[in-house]
Amino acid sequence: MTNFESRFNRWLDGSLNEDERLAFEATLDEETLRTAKMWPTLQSTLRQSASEIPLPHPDFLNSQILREIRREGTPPPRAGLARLAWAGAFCVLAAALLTAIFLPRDTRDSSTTVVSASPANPSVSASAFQAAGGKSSVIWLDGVDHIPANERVQ
Amino acid sequence: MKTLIALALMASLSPLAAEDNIWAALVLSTNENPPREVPRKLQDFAPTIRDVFGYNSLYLLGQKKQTISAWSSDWLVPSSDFFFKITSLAQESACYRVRIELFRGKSLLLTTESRLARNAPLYIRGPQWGEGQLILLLEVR
Repeated sequence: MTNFESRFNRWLDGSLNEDERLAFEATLDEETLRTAKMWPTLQSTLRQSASEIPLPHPDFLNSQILREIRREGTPPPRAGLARLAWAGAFCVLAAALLTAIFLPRDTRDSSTTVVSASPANPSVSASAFQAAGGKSSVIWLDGVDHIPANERVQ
Repeated sequence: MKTLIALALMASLSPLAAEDNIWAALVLSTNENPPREVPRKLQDFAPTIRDVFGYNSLYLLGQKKQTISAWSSDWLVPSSDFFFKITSLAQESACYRVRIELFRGKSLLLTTESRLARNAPLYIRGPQWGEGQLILLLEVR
């Protein structure tokens, strides 16, 4: 607020002393001074014309306002931190357990697999496949020399 | 409760140990009536041998177990006639990548590169012997 505005407000309120009022009015032009002198009349007219508007059910309105004030002033209920922490830990453990049990793991890692199979003898062929159940593997050699029954193997 | 959950997680993940064993066996499989009682050490393998190879009786001719670790190479001799040279190429999250050379005496029969997971055997169908079939087993334990 500027110095002029401050003095203007005080002049309107009538709180300037006589010397200040005369000095201030000397700075105003004629039109402003005439308009401003109507202000007290305007104030009193407004006060006289304004009348109280009766509210229906004032007690109910008061009780609702008071209730809202109380609600906004009440601190939020304290969350049970320990209880929340336990619940969180339980959820994490349960998720880990379910993941470990139900998530399909890489079957290549938990089963034996044959990457390549090469017989040294070109007349022998080798084929590889997973056994039933998928964990074990079989290398099937065909064309290996038959060992007679009377030959000892140890 | 927490202990149970931890145990369940550990059991379900089962990574490789720092040092595992590899077991090899030479097995003669035949068909007999009535079927011969399965040797105790072959009981886990009998169903697969029956289903895949079609034999109901098993004889354990030889076996050998030794340690396996990454980047090692060693001989594995379950019998004096059939034996392996195992070269460990890498240790992956749950299996060993190995090069397996199968010998009969001084003759190389087969070279294979395989991924061997724990408790997941590799069956190699060898030669016929008389009326039976020689099968070689390899398993990381």
